[in-house]
Amino acid sequence: MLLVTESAVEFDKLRDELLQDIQPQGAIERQYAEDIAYLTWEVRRYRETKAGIINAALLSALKGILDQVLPTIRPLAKADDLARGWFDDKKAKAEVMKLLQTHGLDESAIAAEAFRLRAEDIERCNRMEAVAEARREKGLRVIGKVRKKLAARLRQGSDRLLEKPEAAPLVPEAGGSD
Amino acid sequence: MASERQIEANRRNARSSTGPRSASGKKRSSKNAFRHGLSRPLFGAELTRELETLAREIVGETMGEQLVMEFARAAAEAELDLARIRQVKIGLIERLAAFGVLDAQEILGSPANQVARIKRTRLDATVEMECPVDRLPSMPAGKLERTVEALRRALPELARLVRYETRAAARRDRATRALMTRSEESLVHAVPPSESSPHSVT
Repeated sequence: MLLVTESAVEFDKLRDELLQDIQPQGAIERQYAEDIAYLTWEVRRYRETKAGIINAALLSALKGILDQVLPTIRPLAKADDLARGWFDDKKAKAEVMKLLQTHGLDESAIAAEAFRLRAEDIERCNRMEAVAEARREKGLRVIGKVRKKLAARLRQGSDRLLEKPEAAPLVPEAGGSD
Repeated sequence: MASERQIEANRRNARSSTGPRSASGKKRSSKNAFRHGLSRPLFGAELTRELETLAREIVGETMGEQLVMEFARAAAEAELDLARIRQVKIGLIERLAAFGVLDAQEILGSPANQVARIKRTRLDATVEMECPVDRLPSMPAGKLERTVEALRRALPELARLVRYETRAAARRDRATRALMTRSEESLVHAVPPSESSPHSVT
């Protein structure tokens, strides 16, 4: 259940490490352990997506800021050119930084604007990430409970064995009977 | 965060709510669970076999009593539902990565436009059929960026699917709990303490 852009090798590595840590016993524990691996991957997916969403919004964010900081006499196309240049042209980047500084801003203003533009998407990602995290925790708790119950059953079984009357010795003690 | 008063007011309102009132609202809400086809019971011989195999795996090598098997089947069904929901999630994202939208009409335009395009294509053999992929200039070209954008666009649908997923997970948890409790009870009944403990014998 991976996206085509996701690495099956990386997923298997994460899964194997988790299974190694959890050491599931039986089908129920194995199911929950597999689930925990999937949910851990999903949490990672949401985190990476959030970073990707912000990155993808940087250009629009910068354009918006430049529209505000550029002198009004300049054509709007200039904001577009500068915004695009900021990513791969040193000269354009220096010009953008200078413009930002004249208004008491720096690069963090671009990230902040990108976040503002995509706040709704980030919030949705956060909610789904929180759901996945909560279910991962619950999975671990279920494994704990299964083990506790198993341990209690094993203890009960071994207690019964201990409480059984001692078996008669195979060899009768010498002089023990008349 | 909602205050105690707000929470209480919400509860009061929810209690007095009678659900959708209009015919269209009722019709719409009656299909909520079927929107993604995920609430339908499992059916088909192959799925039944898969379900039974999984249930037996859950119970263990030895077949348990009937009730234990029922709980195991419920856990297995929820487990298969979870797998299905996760596949749907991936499918949605991949489809959005390929087409940019989920609704074919958004790609092809209105039915009138579609007819016009088909006519144009038939009349003029030199006009090539437009490929829906990359028709949306807003989809990024890079594979990773495209996936991120697809996931972003899928977020409202994914949020709905997460609700189904959470319910399926809760069903599996309930079935697992019941299964464990029942197995424990069976074990206790199988060996009564009076038989095993010498202290209880008077």
